[in-house]
Amino acid sequence: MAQFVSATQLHKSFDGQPAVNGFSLTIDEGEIFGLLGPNGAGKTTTIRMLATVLAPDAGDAHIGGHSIVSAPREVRRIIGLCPQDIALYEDMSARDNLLFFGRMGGLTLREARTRAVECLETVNLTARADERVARFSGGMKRRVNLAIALVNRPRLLFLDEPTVGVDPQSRASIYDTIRALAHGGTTVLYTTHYIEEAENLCSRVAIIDAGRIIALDTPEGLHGLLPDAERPTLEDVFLHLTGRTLRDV
Amino acid sequence: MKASLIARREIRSHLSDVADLAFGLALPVLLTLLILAVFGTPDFFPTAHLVDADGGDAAWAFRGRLADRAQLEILDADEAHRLLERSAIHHVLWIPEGFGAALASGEGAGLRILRRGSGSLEGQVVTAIAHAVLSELAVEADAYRRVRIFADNLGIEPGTVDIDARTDAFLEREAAAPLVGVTTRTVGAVPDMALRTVAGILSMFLLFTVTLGAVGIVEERRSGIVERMKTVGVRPWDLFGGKMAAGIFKGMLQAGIMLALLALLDSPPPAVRLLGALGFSILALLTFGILGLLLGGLARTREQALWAAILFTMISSVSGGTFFEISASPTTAAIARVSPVYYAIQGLQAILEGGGWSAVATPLGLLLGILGILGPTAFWVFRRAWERGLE
Repeated sequence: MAQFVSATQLHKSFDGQPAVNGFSLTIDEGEIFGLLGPNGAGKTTTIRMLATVLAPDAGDAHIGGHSIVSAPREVRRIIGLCPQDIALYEDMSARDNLLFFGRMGGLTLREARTRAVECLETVNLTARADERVARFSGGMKRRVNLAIALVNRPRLLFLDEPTVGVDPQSRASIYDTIRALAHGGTTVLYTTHYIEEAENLCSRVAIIDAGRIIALDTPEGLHGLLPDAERPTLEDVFLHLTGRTLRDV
Repeated sequence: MKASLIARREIRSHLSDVADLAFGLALPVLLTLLILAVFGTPDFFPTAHLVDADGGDAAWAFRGRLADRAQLEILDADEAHRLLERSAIHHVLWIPEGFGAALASGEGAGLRILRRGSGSLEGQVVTAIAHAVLSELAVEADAYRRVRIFADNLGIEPGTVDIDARTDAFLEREAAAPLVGVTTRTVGAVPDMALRTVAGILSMFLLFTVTLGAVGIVEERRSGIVERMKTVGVRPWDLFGGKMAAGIFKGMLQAGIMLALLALLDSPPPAVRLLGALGFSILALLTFGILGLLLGGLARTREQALWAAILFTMISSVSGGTFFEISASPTTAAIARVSPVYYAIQGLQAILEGGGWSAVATPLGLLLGILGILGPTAFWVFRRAWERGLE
């Protein structure tokens, strides 16, 4: 498969404290790539740099051939961001949120309407499309949050812990959506705390700590990092690599 | 294009929120009606709170003349003390027992004035009126007394000539053509308290744009909406322009209601002045909207934005002359000169009172100047916040 994302030596510091420290990776087109790490490891900062929200202090990344440093506008045309927070207008309906962000992304009204219908179908919210989001459950809001990221037909989708606080049904629905998207050629960069999610969903996983990648392989390949353990899980590997010290950030 | 979509979304949200709408539209209506009810009468007519412990003819004469120049409220002694004690009134004119006898004998009649602090502006006006009335009565009593003494010295028997009637006639002639007179000539536009207060309150409503703008942008930033907008290709000027346009629309809705209600006045300002005030409101809203986005660009949290905006609004409202004439205090007058609110109020007052181009030009020019400096500064701050990731 063709390489769609390549990041080289990305650095970002806040008030002198490095949050991302020499981050490099490549992601193939249509791949679901998992980014695992404890709190404060630099996952969200990495995603925000790749999504052109934050400018890196050093390094660069190319997405679909466009540099996030020198051509952020071109990058924005092909990405979709589903942030960790539920970033939408709760006083509007799910459909109106999709229409609004579709128009913001440059779709015509007709295109935005069509995409809103398609995306609401994708996240199984067609029946509640015209209700105010404020009335939705946490899981439904998460699904609208995901649908908004899809409305502009992104080729690369950033999902920053999209299943936090979600019930098992909504979580299963979100997994199905992500698999279907990847099957259709969309590249997905997925950060999560839930290790079983990364294990089940991602073709490759990078474990990140202190702003740098400390391991990168397929889930099965990562199991091999604990050769002495009997049937190690990804969680065992994760704890082995990042330690058991609490990360209160 | 994107700016207009952002503005439309915000306006739609404002109009669909019943509580927001009720607060935004009903409050100007209530306040304007209140102002018109309080200041609807053209002249200031003070109320004199009075205790009459004498009750004689002279005291009645004093009360009668005072009633020609002020609204009288007669109180008993206990009630007067009680009302003063709880600051329900700020002055009491007290006619002491023996007032009439002292006045007639020329011994010097005393009027007591009880007051809280300076007695308020109304109390000071009433005191001045009471002094004038008392002087008139003293001069007249002195005239009666001297004429009687003079007649007695001439050996005129009491009863042969009605001395008091002749003195009355003389005093009436004197009152009709006094030796010392004061004439009053009205110059320029008549200050209208209702219009002046509406201009102040209208500016205060326009000033809410600062708080709404600052808090609104910080909330959208904190919720991740602005970040999301950035990733779909929205530019800083799209958001800046959209927020400005929405703020102007919401402010104009309130301004339109307040100005439309001025038609309830006995002699409402001509339509051209109301339209002029509406136009001037756009300029004020532009300035205040930009200030709001400046504060929103500087603040990191909702609380920071909220308190900075409230502080600015409070200081500007008070020092800018929203509630009282700032010329009353040299310090506030000096502070006001740096506040755009001051020029907004001055401009609106000048337009509504028909002060002419010369009265409007100065506040208009200064407000444009402030806008010229604030606009680029606010956008620079806003853009920096945008570029550094809107943290």
